[in-house]
Amino acid sequence: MHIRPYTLFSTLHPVILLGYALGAPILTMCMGNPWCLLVSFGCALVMEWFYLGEQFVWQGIRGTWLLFLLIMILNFMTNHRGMIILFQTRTRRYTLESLCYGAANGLLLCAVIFWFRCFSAVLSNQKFLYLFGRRFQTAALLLSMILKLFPETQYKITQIRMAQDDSAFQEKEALKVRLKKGMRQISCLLEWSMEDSIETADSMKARGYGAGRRGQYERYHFTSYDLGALAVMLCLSGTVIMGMVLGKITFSYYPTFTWNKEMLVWNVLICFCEAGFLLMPCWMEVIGAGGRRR
Amino acid sequence: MGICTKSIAFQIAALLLPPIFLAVMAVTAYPYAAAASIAVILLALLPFFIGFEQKKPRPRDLVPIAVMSVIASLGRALFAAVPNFKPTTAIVMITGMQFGPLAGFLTGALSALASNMFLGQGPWTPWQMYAWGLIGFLSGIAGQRKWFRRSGVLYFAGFLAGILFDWFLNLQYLIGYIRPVSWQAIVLTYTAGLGFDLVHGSSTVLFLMLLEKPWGKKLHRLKMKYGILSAQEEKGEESCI
Repeated sequence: MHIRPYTLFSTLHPVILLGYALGAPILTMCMGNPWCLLVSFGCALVMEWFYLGEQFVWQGIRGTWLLFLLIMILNFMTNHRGMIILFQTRTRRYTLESLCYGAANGLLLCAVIFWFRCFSAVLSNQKFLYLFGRRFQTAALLLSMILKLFPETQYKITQIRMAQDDSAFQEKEALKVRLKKGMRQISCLLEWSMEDSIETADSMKARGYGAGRRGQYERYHFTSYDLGALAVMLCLSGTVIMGMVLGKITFSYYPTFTWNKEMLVWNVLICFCEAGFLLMPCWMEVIGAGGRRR
Repeated sequence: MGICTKSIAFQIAALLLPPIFLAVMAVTAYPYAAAASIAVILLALLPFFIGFEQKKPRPRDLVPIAVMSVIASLGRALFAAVPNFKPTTAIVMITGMQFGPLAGFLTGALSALASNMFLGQGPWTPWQMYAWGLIGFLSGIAGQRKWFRRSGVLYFAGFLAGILFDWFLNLQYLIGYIRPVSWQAIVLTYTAGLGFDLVHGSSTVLFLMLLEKPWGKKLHRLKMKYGILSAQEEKGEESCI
């Protein structure tokens, strides 16, 4: 699914990958400034293109534009604060500020969705289980069991269909008959999977599940590369967070658009740092530094 | 039994926490609600997973949960072409009724997580985990108390569960991305999604009608025959799952 399963960034320690994969959407969600939001949305598109390919970008845009419009229109229709009035009815007014505010919130949601779409590309399921497998052993085991059962169950479904479906060359059957058949097949699936699961459980017990400490499938070590990457990430995201906390990039929509015009330098700097943090996997690959070569 | 009732009380408290926080965020128009609501919901999920770890479940208690989650999320992917027509809610409810509250919760939460690994993760993942987990947990309690002995009650509960699931997920957009939350915004959002909500509710009823009797019987037989997820553990201790 991923067009770039091995990048320099992916050789880093899973903790760093988790920090990036969670940090990007969280940072975006806390953004109030429209320029920073645009930067984040652009970076999300670039990262999606980088990891998943052009097709996925278009697919994502097709999936989210309606949501964007919905959020924008909902804010516009139900919120009448603001100074610049676009049009007015007898009971209420519709303002440019609320339209822009809605657009910004819609963009925020779309950016967050795009970041989450990259999540599994940045942090593979195996690494996710490595991170949480130690504290939540049983839940991690359950999750990896589920991931393993998916293809197995799909195989079982085709087997059951082949065994039970006698209607391959027949005319279209009535809905009731088809429904009945479907239910019989899904009941077979339940019985078969459950009987198998009992076997799995007994075999797990026989091999001593729960008797000792559980090992990991893959091992990761925290190296100097990871330390360097962590330092860079903390510097970049720290600047952005500092700017947000100190109110350098505050932008308010109501009563009318206001932002601190003397802080233009800060705004540019923070947008630059934000892009640096969000595009880290991409620029690491371009300059070819910061990770172990495979 | 003492520990069981205490932990169940604790879990119910954890389940009640997010609605209160969400209401406060909606009323005060908290600017970082999109991130904060996800954090609150993840925190509410935590006690269940920790409680499950501490029980040190046997393999025979684990595997059926995995199987039910897989079937529930495959069912969701199977019907993904029809918007909001999904058997997941019904399957989670049946699991909860047969295997108890905690197993129901885990089945619901893990089905949401696992099915989103295929259908796409998003900011909605924790919300779905919480909502389906809650459905499984509550039907587990109802199953233990035998509230669903009449099928009419069960179908009504299923319809309600389907609709409330969607209404709860609507809150994600309302609280996170629409400010201030006025009653017009609420009415507009909920009327826009009403058709989808009804589809979810009635598909849950349909699947409950078709699956509840045969699956209940099968899961009950498994419970009896193999002693999975039953009250009596091998060592003679009581299991709370």
